[in-house]
Amino acid sequence: MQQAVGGSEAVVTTLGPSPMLRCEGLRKRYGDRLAVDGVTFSIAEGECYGLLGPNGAGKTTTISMLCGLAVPDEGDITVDGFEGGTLEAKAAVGYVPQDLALYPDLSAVENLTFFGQLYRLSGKELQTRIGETLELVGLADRGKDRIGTYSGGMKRRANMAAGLLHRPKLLVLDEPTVGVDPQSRNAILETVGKLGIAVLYTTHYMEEAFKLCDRIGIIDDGHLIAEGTADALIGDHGGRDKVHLSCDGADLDELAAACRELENIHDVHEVDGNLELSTDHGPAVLSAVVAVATRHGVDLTGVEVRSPNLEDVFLSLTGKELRD
Amino acid sequence: MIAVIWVNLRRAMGDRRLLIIGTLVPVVIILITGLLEGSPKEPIGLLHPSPRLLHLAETTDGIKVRVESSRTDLTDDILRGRVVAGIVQLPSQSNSVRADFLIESATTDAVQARTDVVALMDLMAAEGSNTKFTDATLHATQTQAPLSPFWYVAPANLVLFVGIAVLVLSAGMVETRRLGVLQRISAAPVHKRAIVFGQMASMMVTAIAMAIGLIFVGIVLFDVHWGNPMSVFLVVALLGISIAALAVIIGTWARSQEQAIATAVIVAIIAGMLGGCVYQLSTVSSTVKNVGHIVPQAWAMDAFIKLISDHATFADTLPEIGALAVFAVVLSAFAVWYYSRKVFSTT
Ligand SMILES: Nc1ncnc2c1ncn2[C@@H]1O[C@H](COP(=O)(O)OP(=O)(O)OP(=O)(O)O)[C@@H](O)[C@H]1O
Ligand SMILES: [Mg+2]
Repeated sequence: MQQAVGGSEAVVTTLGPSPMLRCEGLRKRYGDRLAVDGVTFSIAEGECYGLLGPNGAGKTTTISMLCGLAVPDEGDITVDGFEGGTLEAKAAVGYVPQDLALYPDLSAVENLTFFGQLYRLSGKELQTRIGETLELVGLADRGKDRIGTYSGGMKRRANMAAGLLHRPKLLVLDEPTVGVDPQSRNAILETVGKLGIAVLYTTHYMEEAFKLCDRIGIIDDGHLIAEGTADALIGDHGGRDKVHLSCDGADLDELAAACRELENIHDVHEVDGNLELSTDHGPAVLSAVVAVATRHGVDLTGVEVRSPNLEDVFLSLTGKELRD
Repeated sequence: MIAVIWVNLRRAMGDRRLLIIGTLVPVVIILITGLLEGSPKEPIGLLHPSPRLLHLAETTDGIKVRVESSRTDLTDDILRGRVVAGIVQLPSQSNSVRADFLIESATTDAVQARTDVVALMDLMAAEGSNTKFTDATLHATQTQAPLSPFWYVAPANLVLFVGIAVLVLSAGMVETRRLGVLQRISAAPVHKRAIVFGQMASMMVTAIAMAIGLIFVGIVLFDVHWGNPMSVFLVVALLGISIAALAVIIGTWARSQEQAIATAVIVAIIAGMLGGCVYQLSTVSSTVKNVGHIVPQAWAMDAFIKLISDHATFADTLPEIGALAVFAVVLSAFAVWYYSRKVFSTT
């Protein structure tokens, strides 16, 4: 189930009767720059939705609108059945901002107490939740320490704890792994993976979106340009498998011609003195390709099969790299 | 809203800068300036001194005297700390000296003065006079509380430093905004007005708490009698509200913490100077005095001086309280409007 989305005439995806989040035709202008231009998408209960896009694509702006921090110029937001920006909608969302948004001069427990109180938690319940949440993000033994003394990765985890404390129905994570060491990154991804609530996850790391998200929306320049499961997106926009043949200084023209004769090879071209073949399924053609090379007396110094990924999807949709 | 207040107070308490500027520094400064002003080298008041006594006093090292014209003046000067003690030379038969020694209470200064006076009397006795010398403590006769030597510096530094400390707190507001904590708070299910009023209220509570703390420091450490409690409380509360509002305005306006702190210190010191926290407004030209009253500090100082040195009643301080109330209301209204508008401009 996937579809390309273009502008405000987009169709609502075929989700359950009441999705956790629904954005329709969101538009936000800053001065004469359209930061978000007609973004429409929905997130079902328990679904992890990834918003993938380069710097300045409009991810944070979209999030600001659905967390009630910015009012859209146009469009509608519904969170858990409530209109976006209302207190009920805000209560359903757990917002984890891109930058560390905690008081560095207070301890994690003090910070969480404060944010818990903002979400109407108090007393024993609040204390229990704080303990559980710190446990969940792996900071249970550092709760009494001031946030200012934490390492970068620990700060990020504490930042996430503050968004999880009130058990939101929709967790909104704005690039939670930027500048984070591999250990903390894994801890964060693992935590998100086992939550089981609806998650909106923005990132410009395609591997994360691929691993974590049930569905992915690709956003560029304020537009949601494609949406679907990672497999569907790659199938539709990623292009074919590439087989890369490194062949030291051999005469490539003859080999290229021979490869073109093979079944299931769609395209052959020369890249920097090597050959690159396009095929529907790389591993299947590999033995035939190697046999042809041997027959033509070409010494292969390396053979590499590469399946298309979300980078390729992005490249084919926008003509530019996801990351610069 | 309670949570917003609580967290700000918690942070203010953990802020060492605030602790130092708000309590330690003023106490030290009050102590130093107060001691300098109230040093034992204040003169001894003389009433009807014989030419001989006057001559002896003037020629003896380490003794300063001031001739008083009436017993009332003498008493008053002792109470105000202008003289540390008084000698009243009484009419008597020739060749005998009778004198009353007047003190406010058994302060160290007064004891020192008494030693000096006894020495003078001894000198006269050595010249063959018959001396008789009676101690009289004003405590027994007077109804008004004595003035502490700190009577001016204590309120002056209270007003000055509450201003500096609370305005410096505005840096915390900038920090909250820059860190994105304010954004996060705005994403929580709380009304915008709760955030605005929580911020205002925590500033006010800090300001008022600090001022009340310094009032108690004045009472305990410096023996300052602040006067009518109702007036004192209202002055402190309204001054605190005005300063807190100003702090919110600076915190909203400033782009960086450094800018907030620099602005706060400059504003607080200028306002303190205009307001008579550095020099008494009664000693400066009337132009400066009038200009000074554009800041709430001036009205607070007027009220404190009235209350402490003139034992003003509640009714006497109503003009100052009224003026401070106007400052409090106008500044708070502006602060709320400005903060709401600027901080939530994208919403
Ligand atoms: N408050 C603002 N005022 C003016 N322009 C803004 C504001 N916020 C965002 N923009 C602009 O809107 C566009 C989208 O920004 P946004 O922060 O949503 O991007 P992003 O996808 O989150 O990027 P990144 O990956 O760098 O976080 C950018 O061109 C940015 O300059
Ligand atoms: Mg962003």
